[in-house]
Amino acid sequence: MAQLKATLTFAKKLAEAGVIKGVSSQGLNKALFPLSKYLKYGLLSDDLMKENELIKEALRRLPADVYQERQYRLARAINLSSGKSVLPESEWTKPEQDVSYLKPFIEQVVNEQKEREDWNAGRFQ
Amino acid sequence: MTSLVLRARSDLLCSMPKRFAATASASQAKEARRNLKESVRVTKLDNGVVIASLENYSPISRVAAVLNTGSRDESHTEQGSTHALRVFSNLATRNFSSFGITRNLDQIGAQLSISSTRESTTYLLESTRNNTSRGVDILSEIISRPQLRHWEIDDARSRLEFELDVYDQQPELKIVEMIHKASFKNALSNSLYAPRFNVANLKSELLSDFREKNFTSNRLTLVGLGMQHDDLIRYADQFRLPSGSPSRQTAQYHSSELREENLDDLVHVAVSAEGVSQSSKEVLASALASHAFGSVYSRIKYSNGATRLSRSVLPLAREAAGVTSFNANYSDAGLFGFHLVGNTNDIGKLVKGLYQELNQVAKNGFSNEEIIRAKISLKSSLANSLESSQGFLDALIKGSDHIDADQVLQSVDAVQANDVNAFVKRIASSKHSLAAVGDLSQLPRLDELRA
Repeated sequence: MAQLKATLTFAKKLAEAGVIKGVSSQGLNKALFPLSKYLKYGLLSDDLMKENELIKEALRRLPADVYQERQYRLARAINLSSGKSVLPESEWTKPEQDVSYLKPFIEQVVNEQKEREDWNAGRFQ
Repeated sequence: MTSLVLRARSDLLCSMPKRFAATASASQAKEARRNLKESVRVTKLDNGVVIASLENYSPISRVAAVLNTGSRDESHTEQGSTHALRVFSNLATRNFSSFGITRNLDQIGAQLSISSTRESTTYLLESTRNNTSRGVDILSEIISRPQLRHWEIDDARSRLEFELDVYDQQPELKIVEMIHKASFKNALSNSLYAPRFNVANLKSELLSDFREKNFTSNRLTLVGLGMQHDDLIRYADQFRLPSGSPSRQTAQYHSSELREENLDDLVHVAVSAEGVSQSSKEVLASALASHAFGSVYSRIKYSNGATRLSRSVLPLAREAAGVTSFNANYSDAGLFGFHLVGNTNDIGKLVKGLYQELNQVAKNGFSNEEIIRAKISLKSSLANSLESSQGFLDALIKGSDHIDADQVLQSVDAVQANDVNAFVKRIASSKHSLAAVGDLSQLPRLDELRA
């Protein structure tokens, strides 16, 4: 569990603060979850986000331990994929473990950018 | 509502003829002014917050949130927290981003400034009257709900380091911090500037722990100038601070020497003795002693100064030099001393000359003319500070009796010459501390200077 403990505790704190609601795979996504491939590599859905400027800034804001666990999971997945194998079934990501730890930071960055654009365009609050 | 407006207007109409009548006497004019003058109103809330306000009918409203905590409350591991919180106070709060704070303040034309001393931190908001409530939204957020996000602090740490770089270039600031470090064992020995060895430790958790411990409601005073008292009481709701009652160490004076050597040929030296606290009976005597010797308030532009110290000590120097006295009164301790600036080769003679002069005054006392001149100097500096809104606010924070100029001037006049001379006698014979920065090759040690 070394690859998930800090992320799960952090996500619990976020859920308590009301910032995120439950896990990423809810509703329709819950049905599609067993059909996805990323869980076989032990990844979370937030790990799959393509890196652009926005995501880079959100990643910068992660607490150090959550960020390190993400790096560990990505490195392990790259290793597995290059060896054309997957994790044993017991280590696949469970639905309740698929927390959206990065979503609040992405929202924060987007809101900050929007605020900046609003002010510069003259749309004052 | 209508009746209030009419009442105010009728007062004005009544008093104007009195003012402009050719035969109006000074007392009648004073009476007229008094009709318009409001008095200070003070309320104390259940959670310990003190609210004081004065309506001066200015178009600018000033709200100062004063927290009775400063660098003296820092523990050993927290050194520099007040400096860091001062620099990081524009960072995101719960409802405003850092960008939002700046832009919103710009939009309403308000100014927010933070100044901290060893014992208190003042957050001052100045805005036009109709925008005060929006400004107070931001002010209360900064004080009660800062987020101290770790990435924002990492980004802003370079600003803190820049302030330290600028401070390193100013030995006149450094000597003040050094003399406090040399004179006090604890509390007041903490510098206003973060020590470099601790800058990396000033992280989000440490700063929020420091805030949690020290920024409590019983330490908050809200002072308003140019606003209604009821408005200020309403605003007080927005300042929600933790309810602790933190204890404070008593500051202890001790005698020691602190020397920082470098190759600057302009040497700064400070010599100090234990002074008196703000609540002491001798507080005005200490201020008068400083003015009688010559303080920064006795400056004459472009001259070498006509103070007692300049006339007796400065001729001993070959190069340009300066010498003044200083007096600091804190809540439970005080510091009285002298600050000298001079060339490396002169500084030893200057300090020896200063000691001769100090012993001379201790033996013979100040003459009556010198006491009278000192009283005039102190009275004018106190009255001048009440003229500016910043100085007026500082006085109002101390208490409503400090803003009555007549009362203040009378209390200065009431000080006897014997009190001042007794104070100087005690200073001359007590234990001294020394701080020096520059090329100290020609500066003897403290025990050699006093011998």
